[in-house]
Amino acid sequence: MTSSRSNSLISFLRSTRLTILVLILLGILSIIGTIVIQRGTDEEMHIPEVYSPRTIRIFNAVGWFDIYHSPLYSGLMSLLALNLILCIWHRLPKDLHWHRVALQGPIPESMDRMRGTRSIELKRGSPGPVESVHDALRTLGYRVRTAGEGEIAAVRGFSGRIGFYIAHLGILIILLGGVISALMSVEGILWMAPGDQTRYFTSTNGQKKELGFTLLCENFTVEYYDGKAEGMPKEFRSDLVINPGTDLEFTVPLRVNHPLSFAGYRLYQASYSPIGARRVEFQIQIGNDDRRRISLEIPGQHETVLDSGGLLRIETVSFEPDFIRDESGKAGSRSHQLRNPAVQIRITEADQPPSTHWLFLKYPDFHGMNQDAGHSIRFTGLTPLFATGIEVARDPGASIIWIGSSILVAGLILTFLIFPHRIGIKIQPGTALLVSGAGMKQSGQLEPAIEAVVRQISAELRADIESMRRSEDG
Amino acid sequence: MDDSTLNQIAMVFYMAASLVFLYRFSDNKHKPGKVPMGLTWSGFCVQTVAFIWRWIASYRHGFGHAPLSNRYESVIFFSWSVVAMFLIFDRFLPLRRFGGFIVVLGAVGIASTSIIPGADSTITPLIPALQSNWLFFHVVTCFLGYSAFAIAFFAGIMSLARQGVGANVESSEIIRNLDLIMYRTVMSGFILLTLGIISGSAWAYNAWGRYWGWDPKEVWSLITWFVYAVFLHARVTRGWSGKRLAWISVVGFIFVLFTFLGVNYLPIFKGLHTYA
Repeated sequence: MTSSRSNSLISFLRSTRLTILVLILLGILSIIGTIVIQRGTDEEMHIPEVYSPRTIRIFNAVGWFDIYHSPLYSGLMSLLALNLILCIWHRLPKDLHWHRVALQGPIPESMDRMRGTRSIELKRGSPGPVESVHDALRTLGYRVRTAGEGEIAAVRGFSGRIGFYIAHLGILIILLGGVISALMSVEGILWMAPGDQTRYFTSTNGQKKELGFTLLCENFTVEYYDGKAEGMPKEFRSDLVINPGTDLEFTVPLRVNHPLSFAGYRLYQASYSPIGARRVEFQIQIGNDDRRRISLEIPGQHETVLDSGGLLRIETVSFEPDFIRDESGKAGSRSHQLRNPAVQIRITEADQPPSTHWLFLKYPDFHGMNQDAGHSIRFTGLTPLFATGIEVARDPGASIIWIGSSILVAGLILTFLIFPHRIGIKIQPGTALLVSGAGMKQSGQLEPAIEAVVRQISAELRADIESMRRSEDG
Repeated sequence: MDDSTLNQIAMVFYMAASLVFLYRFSDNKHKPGKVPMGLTWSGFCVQTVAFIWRWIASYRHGFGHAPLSNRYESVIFFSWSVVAMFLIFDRFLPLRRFGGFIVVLGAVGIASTSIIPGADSTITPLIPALQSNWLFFHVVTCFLGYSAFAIAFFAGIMSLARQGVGANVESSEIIRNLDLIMYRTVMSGFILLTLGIISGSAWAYNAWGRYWGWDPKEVWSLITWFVYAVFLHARVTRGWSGKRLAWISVVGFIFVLFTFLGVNYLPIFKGLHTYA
C-alpha cells in the first residue's frame, strides 16, 4: 500500500506533467516580477508611494518584492531539477536497453507494433534479397543485423537519443552554476575619483572585502560623439594603476565591455557619476560695459583682473556639488550629484581685506557681494569632475554556466538534427519484403525515413536483376 | 539612393509576392509555383543589399557598427529575418502554400517603420555598453528565433482555422503537415532563442560582471523559453497534436511579441533594451 503510494508519487515527480506545471508556475511568478517593483532596482524607493501599507505587508510576506529570490521561486527551480534528475534516472536504462537490443538481441518488437509498413514486391527469380537489403541499409548509414529467420533489423541515429540526455544535463549544470553563483559570488561597486587609491571594496551585502592588490585611479575620461550625435558618450575609461609604487606596478585602461581579470577578481567599467567640478567659469562685469570671462581650476587657482578701483584678485576656495547649510550655518553637500553646484571664492581688492562669497550656478544673481563695488561676478558654467564606477566581481558560477550552456545547445542540436529510429524488414520468400519502422512519431520523420529505405532497397534489387540478366545474356 | 529606398523596393517585392501567394492560396487548384518565390527572393536580395549598404554607411558616419541597434534597424531586421527563415524552411517543410502570410509580414515590417514611434531611419552611434562583438550574434540569433516562432504562429493559425475553434480534432494530411511545420519551426526557434539568451548573458557578463540580472527583457525571454519548452514537451512526450498544439504555438508568439516590443511599455521597464 505505502510502496504503491510512494511509487505513484515518484512517477508524478518524474512526469512531464510536473515539468509543464512547474514551467507554467515559474512563468506566472516571473511575470509578476516584471509588474511588481522589485527591491534592489532603481524603482525600489517608489514602493511606499505605489502600494498601500497593507499591500506592502502582504507582498513582503509572500516575497513578491524580491520574487526571483523568494523561497517559492527557488523551490520551484529545485523541483524542476528534481524532476529532471528523476526523469533521466528513469529513462536512461530504457534507452540503453533500446540500443543494446536494437543491435544484438532478437527484434525487440514484433513487426506488428512497428508503423508505416510498406511492401516491396519481389520479382520472380531475383537473387537472395537479404544481401541487397543489407547493402541498401548500410548505404543509408544504418547499423544492420539479421535478426532471425527472414528478419532484418537496422538502427540509426542513436546520438539523437543521447541528445535528450545531453540537453537536460546542460540545464542541470546551468542550475548548479546558478546555485554556486548565489552562494559564492562576490560583487561590489567601487567609486573612485581621479587620484583615489584603495585596497578594499564594499560588496553589495555591505561587507568590506580586501582586493589583494592596490588600485589607483589615475584618471577618468569621457569621450563624446560629435556631429549629429553630439553629447552622447562614445567611450568612458578609467586609467588604472595596479600596485602603484611597487616593482609589480602596471598601468591599464579599463573600458566598457573590456573587463580586466586580476588576482581572482574581474574589474568592469560599469558607470560614472559627476561628483564635483574640475573647472568653474565666471563672468565678471566691471562698470557697465566691460565684461569678461575667466575659468579657474578647483580649488585654489586665482586670477587677477583690473577693476576701476585697482586690482581685483579672484581665487577659488571650495566647491559643493549639492549645496546646503546645516543648523550651525556650515556649508556642505546634500549629495554627490550636481544638483545645486556652488563655488566659494575669495576676493581681494587693492586696499580692502579679503572677503569670501558663495556663488551658485543655478541662481547666478544671488550673492552676498557688495553691490556698490563697481563689479559683479556670476558663476556661469563648470566642467564636471567624474568619479568612475568600477564593478568588482568574483563569480565561480559563471564558468559552470558557460559549460552548461554549451552542453545544452549541443544536446538541442543533436535532438533536432538526428532522428533516432529503427527499421524492421521481413522477407516473405519469393513474394515481398515488408518494411516498417519505429521512432518518435511526433517528429514526422519516420515516413520519409521508411520511404528512403524502400527506394534504396528497390534500386539495389533492380541493379541485382539487371546484373543477373546481363550475366545470363552474356 | 540610401538603404531606406532599397527597403521600400524590397517591400514592393514582398507585397507582390504575397498577393500572388494569397491569390493562389485562395484558389485550391493552383500551386504557389515559381512566380511568388522569385518575387520573394528578389525582395530578399534587395533587402540584404540594403543591410550591407547601411552597415558600410555607418562607417562613413564614423560609427561603424552592424545596423542592429535602434528601433528602426531592429524592425527592418525582423522583416529580413522572417523572410530568411521562410526561404530556409521552404526547402525542408511543406509551407509554401501559406507563404503569403509570412512574406506579407516582411512587407508589413518595413511599412511599419514609418508609423512606429521612435523608428527613425537616421544612423545613430552606439553607447559604450552596446559596442561589443556580441551585438551581432545576440541580435541575429534572437531575431531568427523570433522569425521561426512567427512561422510556427501562422501554422498554428492555419491549423485552428481549418479545424474550427469548437470542432473535433481532424486528423487530415494537412493538419499533420501543419503539426510537423510547427514542431520543426518551434524546435529551430527554441535552439536560436537559447543561443540568443546565452549570448545575451555572455555579453552582460562581459559588460557588467553578471550573466543574469533579472531585467524585464531577460525575464520575458526566459518566460518565452518556458512557453516553447512546454510546447516541445507537450508534443514530444505527451503526444499533443492538432488544435491543442496549435494553441500553444499561437499563444507562444504573443509572448515573443511581448518580449520583442511589449516589454518596453512595462511601467517599470528601464534598461539597455529600450530600442529593441
